[in-house]
Amino acid sequence: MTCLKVAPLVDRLLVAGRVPGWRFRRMWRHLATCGTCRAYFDRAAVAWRAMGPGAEPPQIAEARADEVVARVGAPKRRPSRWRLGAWTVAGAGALAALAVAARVAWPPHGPDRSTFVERGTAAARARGIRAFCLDVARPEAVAVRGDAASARPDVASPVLACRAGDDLQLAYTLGAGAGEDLVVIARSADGRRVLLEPAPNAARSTALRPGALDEPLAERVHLRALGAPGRYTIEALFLSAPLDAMALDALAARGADPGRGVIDRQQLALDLAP
Amino acid sequence: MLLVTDRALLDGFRAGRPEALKAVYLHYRPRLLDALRAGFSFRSGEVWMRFRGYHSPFELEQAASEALARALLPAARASYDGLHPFADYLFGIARNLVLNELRRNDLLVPVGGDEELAPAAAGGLALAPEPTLEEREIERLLAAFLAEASPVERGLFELRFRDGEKQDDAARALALSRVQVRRVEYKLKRRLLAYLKKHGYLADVPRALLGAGLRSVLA
Repeated sequence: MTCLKVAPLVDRLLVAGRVPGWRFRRMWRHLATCGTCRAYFDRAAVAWRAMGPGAEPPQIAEARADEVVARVGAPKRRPSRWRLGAWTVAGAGALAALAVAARVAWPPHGPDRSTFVERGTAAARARGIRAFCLDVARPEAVAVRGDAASARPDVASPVLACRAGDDLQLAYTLGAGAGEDLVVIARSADGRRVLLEPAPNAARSTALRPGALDEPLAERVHLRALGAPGRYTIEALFLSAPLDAMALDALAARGADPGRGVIDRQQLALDLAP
Repeated sequence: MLLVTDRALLDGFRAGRPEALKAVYLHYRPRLLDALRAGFSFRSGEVWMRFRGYHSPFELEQAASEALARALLPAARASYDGLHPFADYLFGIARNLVLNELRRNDLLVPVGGDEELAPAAAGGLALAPEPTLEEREIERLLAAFLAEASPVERGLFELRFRDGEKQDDAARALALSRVQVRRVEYKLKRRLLAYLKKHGYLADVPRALLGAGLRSVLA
């Protein structure tokens, strides 16, 4: 969701008390990463709080409650092992029968659709990360100090200027298509690895959602944890398949180029001031 | 006292039934929001410190949501005895959550020794926060807006927003139908929004800020 759509949604929330659920969820995710829109939402929220307890849009409490309940609710019961086995056998049998039937009914002919690309449509897939510097020193608000989007290594790296007390929030963009995974590595000027996202104890690389635009990554990083002020490079590796913790570590150590599971490599520079 | 008095709800809560969890969330959220907005004092070593409370409604909502999520986790539900007020249990969780956040973000303010603290401040989540500039501004704008409103609109504003009455009850009190109340309320809010924008309280998001970085990615 872009900032242009957020303010009208907040207005509608104030007036009508409700917006479509999927729009609300996108708006809320956007607010978590965008200081400008959050400031707008905050002012609207101060307004409905001042109006009285009955003026708060009911959707806020309900949507947040639904989200939390879905997160922490009772786990779904796993089917017992014998039932799982029976379903697997039945499913495999049905698939095999379907495959045979399809082969008989529609024998293969014409061009192979899997390799067919319409002329002029083979554009590069939109892919990148965007880093936000969040000024969290003031308790009354979290403001975006600046942001920069990644670029391929053959293009001059965009530079993001932050202060040591700031937080770093990363967001990714991935065009429609197959799912991909992401690893983000930050290195100091002397090439030392100072950050790996996901963290080294994570089970696997970060799974990305196709069609996501500026989707925030779960973890926010306090920049003081990176080390001394200076220049850092943030590198984003887009992967065709998930990597486990050991493979992640190896990948971060060797500094991969595209190929060997790495579809794309982008980077940006971070100038950390005291 | 919801969970202490309603044993059926407590059973549902312990079993993790979604409708029970949602009822608990919606019941305790307003009080938790008030508490986290007000802030609290605590002792760190020899020094009294104060968390001044969340001033950003978004941050406040996020913090309350996170505290409630932790209180609704299976382990936390199992630890709650069902005899003591759940609000105290919840505020304890919220307090720990906030303190962990504060350690990361340097939001602590030393407030001196015991003698400098009012007795109420030394304990829990109780002090009412000072109104911010924004709150004073919106109070002034609301008063001016209501001064121009019709008596019916002012009555509706009192009943629906200040007192939190349902539309049916407000309609009965104002001798209107529910549909009329809905229409008047909608128009009133729309006019208020326009009034706030006209007076610069809700300024539109500047277009220049939007999507600057993403353009290079999507190009």
